[in-house]
Amino acid sequence: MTTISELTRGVHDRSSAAALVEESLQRIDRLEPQLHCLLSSDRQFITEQLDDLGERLQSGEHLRLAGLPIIVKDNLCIRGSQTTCGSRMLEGFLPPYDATVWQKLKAAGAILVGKANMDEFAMGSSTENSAFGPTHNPWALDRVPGGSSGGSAAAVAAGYALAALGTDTGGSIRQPAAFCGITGLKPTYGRVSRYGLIAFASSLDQVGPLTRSAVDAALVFSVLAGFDPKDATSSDKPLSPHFINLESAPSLRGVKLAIPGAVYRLLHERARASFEVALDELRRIGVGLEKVEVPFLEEALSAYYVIAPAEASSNLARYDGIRFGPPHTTSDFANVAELTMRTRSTFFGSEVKRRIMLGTYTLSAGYYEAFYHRAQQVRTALRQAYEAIFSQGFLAVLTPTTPGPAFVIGEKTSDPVAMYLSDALTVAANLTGLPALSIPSGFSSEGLPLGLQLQGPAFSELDLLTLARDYQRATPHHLSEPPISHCSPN
Amino acid sequence: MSKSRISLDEVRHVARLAQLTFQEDEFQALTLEMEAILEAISSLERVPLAGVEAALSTGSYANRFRADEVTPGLSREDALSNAPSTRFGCFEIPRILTKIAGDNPPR
Repeated sequence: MTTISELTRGVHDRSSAAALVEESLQRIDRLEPQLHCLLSSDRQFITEQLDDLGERLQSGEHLRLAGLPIIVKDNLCIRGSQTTCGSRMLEGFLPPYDATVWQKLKAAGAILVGKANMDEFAMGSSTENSAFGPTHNPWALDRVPGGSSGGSAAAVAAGYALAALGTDTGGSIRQPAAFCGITGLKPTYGRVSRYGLIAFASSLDQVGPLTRSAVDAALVFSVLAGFDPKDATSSDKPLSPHFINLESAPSLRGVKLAIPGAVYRLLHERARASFEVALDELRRIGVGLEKVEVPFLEEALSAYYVIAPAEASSNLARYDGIRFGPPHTTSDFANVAELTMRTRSTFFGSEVKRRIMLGTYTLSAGYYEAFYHRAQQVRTALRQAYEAIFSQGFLAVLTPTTPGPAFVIGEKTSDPVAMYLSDALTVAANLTGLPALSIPSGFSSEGLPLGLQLQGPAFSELDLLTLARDYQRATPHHLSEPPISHCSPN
Repeated sequence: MSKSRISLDEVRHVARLAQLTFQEDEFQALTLEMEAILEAISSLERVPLAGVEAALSTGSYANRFRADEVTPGLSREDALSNAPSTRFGCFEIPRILTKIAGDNPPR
């Protein structure tokens, strides 16, 4: 498998960059009718980017991601490029500024080839909540790719690009990475700027890379991470130079991982055998495994489904039909209240409305103490529980990323609670702000990809990625390609 | 589920707070869905949390001040560029005052 650094090493001028982009676009043209990973792919914008990159390469600039075709989730603002957030509310929205992560990718020489499909406002676990239709899993077209970064994950799995950006509020990078058989990193809260990310739940949202391997994830992360004066929660912790070349990072010795007992209560039957095999593979590379009890882990999902909708109800108040929204004539409305209510009711999808309602309810007078306050207490308790585990010498907490493999499209759409359960093992990292990584770990009994998740102490991305690299050196799971990638051109 | 956690009337009230409206059948379905979700998250009521502080932020952050310098912001055109309706370089909204003398543009 080609790595990003191998791919970009051959790029020294406009035409070598254009060749990579052309390859990516051909694949998009061929597979997109079946997969629907993208919401837009703007050829004019691609040409402009290539022109700009060509000039910079000619002037001798050395760029870490020179000519790398990249997919960006459609909730990240790119100036002048339609950013819909998967919502009809933002159909046609042309951001007047760039997200910091896009500025950094552009500065490193990456070329945007498409904006990825997603659950509307990142609310969902299957990409079925996109207002523009679902994405299909490249491993099985009748299945979901996971969500909310399902378009990003499916695009990388299908070979549109070696890297995509996703965002993770409760598992939205890791769960689709697991469902699509790729690697996905949710960095420590504050590691990557949220400036220009359309907010869902501000205390939980993080941007991160989706790639084939840990080595590639580390390289993209090295570009994304760092302090940004435009994000008050961003961290100025220095970054290790090993991220740029993860192969150079020394292997970890005497690593011990903690497996929460809750895993065995949540894991589906058809994912069990694969998980046991993955544990053996870890033991074989010298990793010690111990079962632990993580208090409050099973309450994490409840706390998450209080906090995330509460923050969303507040963040999404800005969609008032006045500053954003589809064009209208003001004389169509009797007053401002009617304009706002009709716009919101018409152009938000049902899951978004459901979460706004839930969040408004749990924050309303008389319920705040019972729900929001207690959820924030669980958050503290959970963080303390994780810190206690790390203080016993565990490098990370190990779980399967999801209780089971990708489900069939439509299977869970009528049951919000069943859908929410697919986040059971991922939300803790968002509530605690800790970094977490999902890596491919084999297949379910029906042949669908599964992932392993590592959750480490704050700012331990290098340890997580290094361990993942060692696992990927010893196992072939991340090299598997979905059957669709071998389809011949039609 | 013996007693319901949320009534149709409460759902209507919350919808008004959230500036949303629904068809009658949607209100009924939403009440059942919210009931199911609230039941699913009711484990929060049972966990022992006495003495645990509520988290106020993700991780630990100190306030950080920036230099008080003037930097370029969005231009008026950019700020208005995605508005559904604009007039005289402003966001346009439905009339909020009843007819008063004249109909002059703001100065």
